Amino acid sequence: MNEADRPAVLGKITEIIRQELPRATGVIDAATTAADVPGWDSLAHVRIILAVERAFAFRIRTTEMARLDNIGALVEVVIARGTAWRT
Amino acid sequence: MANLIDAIAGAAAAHGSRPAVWAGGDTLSYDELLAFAARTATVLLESGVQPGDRVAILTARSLAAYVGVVASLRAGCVYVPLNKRHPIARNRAMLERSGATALLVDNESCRRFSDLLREPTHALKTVVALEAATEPRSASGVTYLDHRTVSATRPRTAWADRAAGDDCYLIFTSGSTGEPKGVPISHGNVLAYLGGISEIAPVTHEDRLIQLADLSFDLSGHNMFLALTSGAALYSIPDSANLLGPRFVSEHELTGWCSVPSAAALARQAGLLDPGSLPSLRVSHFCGEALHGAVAEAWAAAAPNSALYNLYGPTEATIAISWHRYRSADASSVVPIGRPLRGQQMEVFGADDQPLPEGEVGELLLSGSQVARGYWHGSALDAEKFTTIAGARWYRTGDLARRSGADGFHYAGRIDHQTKILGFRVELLEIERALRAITGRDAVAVIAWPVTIDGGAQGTVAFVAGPAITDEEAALAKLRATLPPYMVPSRLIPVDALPLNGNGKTDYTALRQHQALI
Repeated sequence: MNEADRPAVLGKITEIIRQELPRATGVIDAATTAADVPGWDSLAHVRIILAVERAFAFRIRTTEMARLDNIGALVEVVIARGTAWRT
Repeated sequence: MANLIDAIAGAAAAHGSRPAVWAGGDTLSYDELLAFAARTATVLLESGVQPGDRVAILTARSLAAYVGVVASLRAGCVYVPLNKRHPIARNRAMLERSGATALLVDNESCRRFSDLLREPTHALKTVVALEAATEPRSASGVTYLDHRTVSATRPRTAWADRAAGDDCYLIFTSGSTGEPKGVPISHGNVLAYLGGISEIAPVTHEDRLIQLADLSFDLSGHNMFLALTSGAALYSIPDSANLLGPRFVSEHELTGWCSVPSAAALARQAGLLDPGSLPSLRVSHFCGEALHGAVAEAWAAAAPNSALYNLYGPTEATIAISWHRYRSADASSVVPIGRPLRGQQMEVFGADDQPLPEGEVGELLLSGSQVARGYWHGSALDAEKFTTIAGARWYRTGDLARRSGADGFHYAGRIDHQTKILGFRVELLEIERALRAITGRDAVAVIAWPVTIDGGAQGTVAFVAGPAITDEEAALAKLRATLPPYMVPSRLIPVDALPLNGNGKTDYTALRQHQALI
């Protein structure tokens, strides 16, 4: 993936979050953090991470998770390491 | 050895260049850990902290946390783990009640708990930053020492000796009186535990053990002290990956696991326990709540090379006091809590403090060298929970159990309102007291909810008699400011009146079947 994919990656991640968290009806952008999204608890966090991995066919390392401060950081990890696009 | 710090120093002398702690991608060797701890201990002592003082630690589960533990012990002090996930008010209460004279912090704590640092507790005299601070801090009446001071300090070489009966940590648990209660644990208590558990599942310097528990949860002492007294490496999982423990094990080829059963249950629920997916594990310990056979069986299949143990024990008996090695025959039921470790005693007593015969359910009492001397400033509570029967001193657990043949003891519930939420020990009465104070309503009741198919609880809900609380979110926000996140009810359910049982007491069984929960 490359820089041009960034908006589409953000869109797909937003779709995943809304699927996993039906109460997440507000705006989701690169600056959004877990604390901004209703229902994003630790179990939801795992579900979202696993869904993102399935969608982009790669595995996020646990050390990378420590740096996922917001959605933008998750998008950057996908851009850097995601290898596929599954709709 | 009479104390824990000598045991750690002994392992460091034998394995100085080997990795001691990994956290966040950084590693400290034993030599580096002991040197950093010695400098920090020197700074503490030179600032006026005395051996025997309490030293609070408020950090993430980072390298700083483990430096803080070893430094406190090196200085001859008693470490008091706070928790950055808990509200400021609760951390302040623990700081105040412990009478800690020093506080060790990392950068994140400096930022998040600046109010605590600006208005320190009465006894606090010294704050030491264990990481390079992003900005200078100050507090009236408190000496603030930054990371550079620690780095530039020439460490002492002579240290106060500690006896087996001296305390090494003071940990706070949920209290039914509405306030967390402190449990002081001695060097001898911990060494007795390490001796007993090492007979069951020895750890060597070649092991790599996961650290999932925060310091404020006494289960943290299991892998932390097993590793640091044997030359093994402790791998502290990042907070954000807490529920992805199996993946962390795979990435680092860890050999030892220790967690509450809820961690395995959630991993199983998330599809992280594929059969054979954890081949590096050679020993797995579960402790802190009931371990259900289905969860244990899934774990055993994922970690085919691992021995799997169910441990049992309250904080008052130092981490765990009994053990049972899981076998497939246990898969269809709750796994037994087994037999006591060497030098410890367990017995089921009836209401008249007479031992009950095999098969009968009664209160489980504990005795032996792991049992704490009492609560911190808790003489009234001591009289209630610690007792002498036939010349032996026993701790009343409040747990119900029965003894059964070769498997030893089986857990059978609680005699009171204590419960486990995701493995955390919670007094529901503490939540009720906080809720009464915030809502001004007397008739409130809190139950553990939802209860999972594995038998654990993932949270709580509250019932409030009378009209619905007009601003539920505001009330919950106030609770979040006083209680740890796992204790805050997810809902405040209005009821006309709380149901009563035949004795005129709140009928908690009826509340668990309330239509609002269906």
